[in-house]
Amino acid sequence: MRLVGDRGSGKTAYIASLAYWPNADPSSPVQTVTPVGDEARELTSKAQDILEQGLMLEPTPLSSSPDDVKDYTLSIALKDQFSWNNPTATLENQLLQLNISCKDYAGEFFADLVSKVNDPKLDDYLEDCLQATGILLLLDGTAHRKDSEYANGIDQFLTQLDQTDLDGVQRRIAVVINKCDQSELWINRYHPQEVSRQRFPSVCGKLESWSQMGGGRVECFTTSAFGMLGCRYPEPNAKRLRRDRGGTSSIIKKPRQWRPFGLVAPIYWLCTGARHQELDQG
Amino acid sequence: MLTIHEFSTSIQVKYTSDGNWLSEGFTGGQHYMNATLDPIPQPVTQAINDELFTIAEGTSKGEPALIGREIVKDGMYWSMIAVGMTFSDVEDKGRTPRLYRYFLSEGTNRLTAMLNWMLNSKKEYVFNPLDYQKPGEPYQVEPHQVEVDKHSPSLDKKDNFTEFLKKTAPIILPSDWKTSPLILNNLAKRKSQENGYPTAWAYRAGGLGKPSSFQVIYPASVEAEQVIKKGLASSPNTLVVIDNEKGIKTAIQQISLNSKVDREKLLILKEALQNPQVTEEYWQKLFDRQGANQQGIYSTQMVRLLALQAVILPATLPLYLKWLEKQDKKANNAFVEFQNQLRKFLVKNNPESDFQPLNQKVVQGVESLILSIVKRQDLFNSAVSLLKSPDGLWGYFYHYSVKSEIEQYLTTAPLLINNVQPDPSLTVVEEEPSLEKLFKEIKLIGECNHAYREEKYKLLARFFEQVSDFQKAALFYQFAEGKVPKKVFKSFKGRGNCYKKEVYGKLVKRHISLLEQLKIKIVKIGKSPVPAYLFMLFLILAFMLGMLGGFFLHKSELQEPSDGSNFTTDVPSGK
Repeated sequence: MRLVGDRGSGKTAYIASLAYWPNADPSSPVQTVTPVGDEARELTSKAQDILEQGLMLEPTPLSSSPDDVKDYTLSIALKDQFSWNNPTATLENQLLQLNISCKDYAGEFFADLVSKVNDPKLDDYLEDCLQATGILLLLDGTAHRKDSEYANGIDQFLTQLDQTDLDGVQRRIAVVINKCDQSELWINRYHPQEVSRQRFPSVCGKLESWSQMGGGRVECFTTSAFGMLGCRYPEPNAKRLRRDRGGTSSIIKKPRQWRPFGLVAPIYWLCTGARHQELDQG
Repeated sequence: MLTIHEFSTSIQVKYTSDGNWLSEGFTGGQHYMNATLDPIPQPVTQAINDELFTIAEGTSKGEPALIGREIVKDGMYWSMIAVGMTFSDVEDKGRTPRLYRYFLSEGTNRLTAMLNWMLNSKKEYVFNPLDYQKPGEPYQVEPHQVEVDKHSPSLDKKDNFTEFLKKTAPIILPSDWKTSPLILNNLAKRKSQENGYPTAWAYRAGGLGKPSSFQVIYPASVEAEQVIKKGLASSPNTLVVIDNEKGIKTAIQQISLNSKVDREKLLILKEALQNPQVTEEYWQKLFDRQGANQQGIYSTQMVRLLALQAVILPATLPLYLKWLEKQDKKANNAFVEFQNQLRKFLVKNNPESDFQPLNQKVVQGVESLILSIVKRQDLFNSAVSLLKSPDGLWGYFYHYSVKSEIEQYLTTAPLLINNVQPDPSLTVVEEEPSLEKLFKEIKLIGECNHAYREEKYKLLARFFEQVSDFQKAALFYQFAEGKVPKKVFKSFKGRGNCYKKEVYGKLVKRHISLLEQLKIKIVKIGKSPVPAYLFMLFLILAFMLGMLGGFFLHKSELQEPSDGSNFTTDVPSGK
């Protein structure tokens, strides 16, 4: 899996929140999230020592080679959904294990996709990215003014995808609208398709036509690494530091009530090709 | 005159109207900016890549952290000081990137002079993209600019520091002490002279990429001290800086995570195997850091990671096979796939292939597995299924390498000195088990003591039978049970007859059933030899005739009683 998105779209916060999995909801289908190996464990420390302390993560350095990009491995155990195909497994409360390895590219990769052509380093990154079967495209939902810029980058990316065959395996691209703790996005969190089309019409247009041409599958999701506070009158559990055309940057407001929203749903779909109703609900 | 070069992390600079600058992110194509030398020496970029100058995230904000280190690689020597700092005033979406400025001079023993120059003459040494530098224009530093400040106290006069000198590196100084980079450098230099590893120190470090590679560390805070100590606990316990450590780690990761094996990555592992600094303990730590020691993770990646570990560290192969036994079909398929991929590279036409050190490791794995079979019944089935077919990785090396090796041990005449016969009780796997020892000793004992029996070789016999190596199977059945099963006996050719054959200079006997024994046994009746079966037939016949005779005799006695007094049933007496 590759995690791509613009600088500051929240990629490292997304994967770190997932690895840390704070204040797990007992009714959630997610039983546990286990970081595998030192790099993934470092992510947990980042979440604990930086995000939970109300601090911001440093921008991920742009490694000289895509080989040097940290590849985080997580094992997500899900309580199995009832299935007529395997009713005994459901009754025995068997766990479904999603094992993912995710490379968290520096945002510069995506920014360079938009602005640069024929850069040897970018080509190396592209080649590495094309090896993945699942691509999680993380978009800051409040950076919608960059839609047409992103669409240009996506165009170049899709062209390259089409030129690299994955031995018949169909690629999946999850378009994930991040920072849905922001009120204008939160109210539409259960309508990911609509939010995505409304906020990023050009990006979605490009991806949909790629999918229709048989390039692969595309699904939309909404997520927030920090989540909300309160149930009846929810407000973002995020203190906004800055907001401009490039999006929003925030820190956690109340770390003790930190419960991310929708982090596992896109990963479930990337792994299985099916949407998980409960995960889609947060 | 001292020549000092410099270069910095490359960023996209946005100039502000007040003459300042903002970061717009790291640059793609060019990795460093404001460099006075082009290209930047490979050992230097390699050291940065290996995180030897990395200060961990979330630490020492606002104040520069310094790392000083001597780099020694392939006959090249550099002294380098990295100054890392986060820039809270850089408006990068509110985020604070950590940016580095590096100063370096060719040769070792330059760090003190460089520090004196930086702290006393240069003064501005933190990252500044506006301090433009050009290749070919390094700093030429006059001797007076690098002189030690005469007023600074010498290290020996500081009692606490001499106390610390007695400790083993890496020494972590308490964060609440007052110290300076110069004192730290002196301390590190002293430790370097003592343990022979290059000088390396970190001043005001929050967290470090490779804490174990330093002589002395001065943490930025109490929290940082904890972070560094935690990092040290999980690091390989050595000051040795492993060449291309990151490359080795990436190679392990990629082979495990990707569904393919890349030749380049395999070459990196091969080179690491040839590096005496990369010890088994170090490999183990590398695998553990990838999650090899984590319980309860069942994934294709884990199957591949542990399989690769079993290649590099052959002693882990038996444990891996036990682990794999509990996995599902998917995991077993992933293991087969992994073996096929690796085999393609390792068994290329040329036997002296590029991957010889890896081949040797696989061979070692096969050998240790065969040795384990003698002792562990629980490994039997896994070992057989791994080595039976030459299509697998270990199977290939068993059939095309280890098999002939064993053959050689068993065919070479044993060395008998002064006709002294070894004591069978002292045989087999002792402190340093090896196939050579096992098989040569077996051969020796077998030839000296024809009645030699050892039950434990039955598993080895069964193993050879399962992998269709019937001669060896016969030999070990003979040792284990004193006879060879008929099926095995019939499956190989050898000098002898249908009951006895010679294998590896030893006579082995076929198992003979009772019926067969009767058929072939000759007994002498008087002076004439009679086949045992005829004799048995005669005995049985005689026995049956005897029985029959006895029966009739008894019956006639019942029918003709001597006085008739008891005979009352059929003939009523009153008529």
